[in-house]
Amino acid sequence: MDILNRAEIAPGVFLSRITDARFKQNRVSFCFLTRLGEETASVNAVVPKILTNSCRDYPDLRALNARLSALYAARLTASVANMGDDQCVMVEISVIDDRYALEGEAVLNEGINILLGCVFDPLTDENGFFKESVTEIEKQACIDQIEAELNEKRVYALNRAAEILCAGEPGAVRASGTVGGVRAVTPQTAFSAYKRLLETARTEIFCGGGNAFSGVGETLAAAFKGVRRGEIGECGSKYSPLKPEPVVRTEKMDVNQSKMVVGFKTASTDLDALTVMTKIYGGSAASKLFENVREKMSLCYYCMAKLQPLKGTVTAECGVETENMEKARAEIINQLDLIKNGDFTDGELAHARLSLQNDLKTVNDKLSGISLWYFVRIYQRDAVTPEQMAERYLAVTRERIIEAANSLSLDAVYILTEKDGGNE
Amino acid sequence: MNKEIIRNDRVNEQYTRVRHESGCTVCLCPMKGFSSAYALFGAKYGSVDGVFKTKSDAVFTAVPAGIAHYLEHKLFENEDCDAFKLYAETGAQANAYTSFDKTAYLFSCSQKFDRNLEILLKFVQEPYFTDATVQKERGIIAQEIKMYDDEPGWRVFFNGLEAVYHENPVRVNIAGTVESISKIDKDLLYRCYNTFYNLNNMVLSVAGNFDPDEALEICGRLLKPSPDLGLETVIPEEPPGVREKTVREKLPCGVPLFQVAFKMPNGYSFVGENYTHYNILLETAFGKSSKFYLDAYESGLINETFNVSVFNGRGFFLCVADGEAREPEKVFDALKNEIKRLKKEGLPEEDFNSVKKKTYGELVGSLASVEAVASGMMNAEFSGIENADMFSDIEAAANVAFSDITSKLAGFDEENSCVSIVEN
Repeated sequence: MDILNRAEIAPGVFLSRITDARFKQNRVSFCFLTRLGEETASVNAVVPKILTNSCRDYPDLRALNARLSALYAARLTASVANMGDDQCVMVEISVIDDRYALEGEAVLNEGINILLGCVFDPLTDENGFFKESVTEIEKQACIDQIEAELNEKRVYALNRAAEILCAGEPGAVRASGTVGGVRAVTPQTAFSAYKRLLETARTEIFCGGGNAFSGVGETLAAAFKGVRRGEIGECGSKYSPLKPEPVVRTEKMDVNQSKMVVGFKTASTDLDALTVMTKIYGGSAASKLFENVREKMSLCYYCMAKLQPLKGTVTAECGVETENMEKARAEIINQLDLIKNGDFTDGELAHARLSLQNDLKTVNDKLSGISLWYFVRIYQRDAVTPEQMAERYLAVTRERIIEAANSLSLDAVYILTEKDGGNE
Repeated sequence: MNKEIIRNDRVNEQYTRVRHESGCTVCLCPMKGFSSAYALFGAKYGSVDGVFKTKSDAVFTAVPAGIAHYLEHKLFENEDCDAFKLYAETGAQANAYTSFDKTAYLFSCSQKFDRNLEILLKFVQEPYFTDATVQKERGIIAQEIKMYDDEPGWRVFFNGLEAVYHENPVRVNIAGTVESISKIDKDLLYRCYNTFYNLNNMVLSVAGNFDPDEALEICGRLLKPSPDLGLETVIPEEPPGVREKTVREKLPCGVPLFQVAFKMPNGYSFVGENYTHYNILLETAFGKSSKFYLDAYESGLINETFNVSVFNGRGFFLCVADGEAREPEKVFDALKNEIKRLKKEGLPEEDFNSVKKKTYGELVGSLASVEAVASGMMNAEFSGIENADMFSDIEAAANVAFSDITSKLAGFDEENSCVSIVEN
C-alpha cells in the first residue's frame, strides 16, 4: 500500500493519495474546511447539494445522473459534517476501478472530469449566480434532511446533547444548518458562499483506491490555477470549557422509550489515555457500562460511551424506561467514579487495549476507513498510521487512565422523555 | 468431506465450499492483503419459522413471536462465562443478528483468528439457559423493542408488511412484542435450539485474513456431527391480494415517511435471477436517472431519500419503493401510473443498459469487503436456489438481456400493492 503521498497543490489545498490494489473502487473527495457559524452553516450546507445537481457539461440532474449511471454506478455525493468547531463541506465521487470495466472504459478519468466540472464549472444563470430553480430544489432537500434528524431518536438526542455541551461555541452549530437559515438562502448568497469556500477554505483532497492516480495531481493543480486563492480561513478546534454548574435539559416528545445523554468534559490533552479509558468505560461489549447497566441491571438495550477528541467531551448514552432513568444515571456516574478510583482490573485494561488494536488494524481494510482515518489525523495534526497509534495505546499505563478519568467532570445531561401521562 | 472450488473468471475470484461431515456447510474465502477476518456462523432460522416439526414429532409446534431473536440474545451466555468476555481476551468485535429467515453469529478480528473461531463454534453449540438468565434478558429485549417502536423508518416498514400479507409470518416483528416475549421460557428456547441449531441447517462462512487449513482443522475438532432431523417448517398459504391498501401511524418525525409495496407471487423467492432482474427493472423504471425520479424530484413530490429495492427471503418477495414525501398517496398513484405508462410505451433500452452496468459495478465493488464476501457466501447457501453461489448475482447482472426485464414488466401487477405512511 502506498500511503498518504501528500502535497500542497495550491495555497491551502492539499492532495493526499492512497493506493492499494485490493480495492476495486476509487474515490476522490474534496473537503472544504471552514469555521462553523450560525450565519454561514446553512448556506454552506446548500452549496454542495447545488454543485452535485448539475454542472455546465451536464446541465440538469437528468443528464448528470444518466452519465453517472453509465459509469458503472459512479456515486457523486454531497455532504456536510461537524468537525469540532469547523464545518466540513464535502463533494465526492466514487467509481469502479478501470480493471473491472466491461468494455475497457477509462472510468476514473471520466469520474474525475465530472467531479471537476461540478466543483469548478457549476451551472449559472445569466447573472452569474446559481439557477433559482436548482437552488430552490436543493434548499428543500436540505430542509427535509434537517427535519429528518428527528426520525432517529438516538442520533437526535446525541445532537441535542452536543448543542447543550458546547453552547455558545462554534461547535454547537449544526453543520446541516437550520430550517430558517436554509429558507433564507438565495441563488446569490449560495453562489457567494461557493466562491468563498473555493477561494478561502482550507481544502483537503483525498484520492483513494486501486488506481495509482498518476497525473491526477497535475490535473487538480491545473484546475486550481483558475481560482484566485485568497487568504486561507483559520480552522482547528478548541476544547469546550466546563460550565460553572452542570445543567440538565429535558425535552418531551411522544416516545415509548426515554433517551439520556450524560456529558462530561476534560481539560486533559492526553488523548491516548482518554481513548483507552473511554473503551474501558463504555466502548465495547466488555465495558463497564455494558456489563453493569445492561447485563447486570437489565436497564437498557444499549449503554455506551464515546470520546469527542476535538471538543474534549465524553458522552455516555442510553435508551431507558422513564421510571428507571435515575437508576441508570446514577450507575453511569458510578461506573466512571470506579475508574477514577482505580477500580478496574488488569484484565479490563488488557481487553480495552486489544479491542482498540483490533479496531485499528481493520481500518486499512476499507477505503472509507483509510480515507477517514487520515483526514481526521491530518486535521488533528497528528498524522500517524493506525499501527503507530496502536503502539501508543499499548503504552498507556493504569496511572494515566486514572488521571484521564479524574480529569472528567459532569457538564450536562440531556433527556428526551415521554410526554406527561406516558405512552402506550 | 466434500470440498469444491467455486470460481468466477469474470472477476477473477474464488472460494472453497466444504460439505463437512458434521452436516455443516463451510465456505472459506481467504483474501490476500487484508488485515482482518470476518466469520459468520448462521442457522437457517428466522422469525418466519414459528411453526415446525421434525420427523420424530407427530404434529407441528407453534411458538411465540420473537423466539428466534430471544434465542440469539441468550446464546451468548454459556454455563461458565459469556462469549463477550471470551472475545474480550482476543480483542475481536463480536455480534449477532436475527432476520426474517436466518440467525447469524459473527466476529471481526485482526488477530488470534484461531481462538476466535473456537469461541464462535463452541458457544453457538453449547446452549445454557436457566429461568433466571431468561428472565434477566426480558428487560433488555423489551427495551430493544421499545427503541424500534420509536423509529419511524422501522414502523413504516413493519406496518407495510402487515398491510401486504394476510398470513405470511414476515408480517410479524422479528423481535416479537413485549407481550409475546413474556411467554418465552427456557424450555421453549431449548426446543427451538435443538430443532434449528442442527448443523445440517447451518453454514459457517469466513472471509479475509486467515488460513483455510487451520479453519478446517478447527471445524474438524469442534463441529459436532448432527443427525438429520428431517426438519419441516410451515409458511401458511398466502392469498394473492394485499390485506389493506393504505395504513397510517402517527409518530414524531420530519417529512412523512412512506413505503409502497408491490406484492409478487409466493413462489418468487426461490427462483434464481428474479432478485437481480427485478432490481434492474425497478432501477430502470424508478432509479436516479429515470424519467419518473427526475420528474418527481424536480416537482418536489419526492426527495433524495427515495429508493427502490427488492425485499425477498424464504417465502416472501416484494418490490418496494420508500422514502419521504409530503403527499405520500400521490407518490403511490404516480408509481402505479408510471408502471402503466411503461407497459404501454416501453422501457427505455438505453437506461436499461446503464442500470445493468450500475448493478454489475456495485456487485463487483462489494467483493472488496470481507463482510460482504462472508455474507454473500452464506446467503447463497441459504437461498434455497439450486447451484447458487456468491457470484450468481454478478453473473445474472452481466448476462441480463433487455427482454428479461421487459417480460418482468409485462407481468407486473401494479394494483396488487399498498402504501404505509408514518406522519406527525
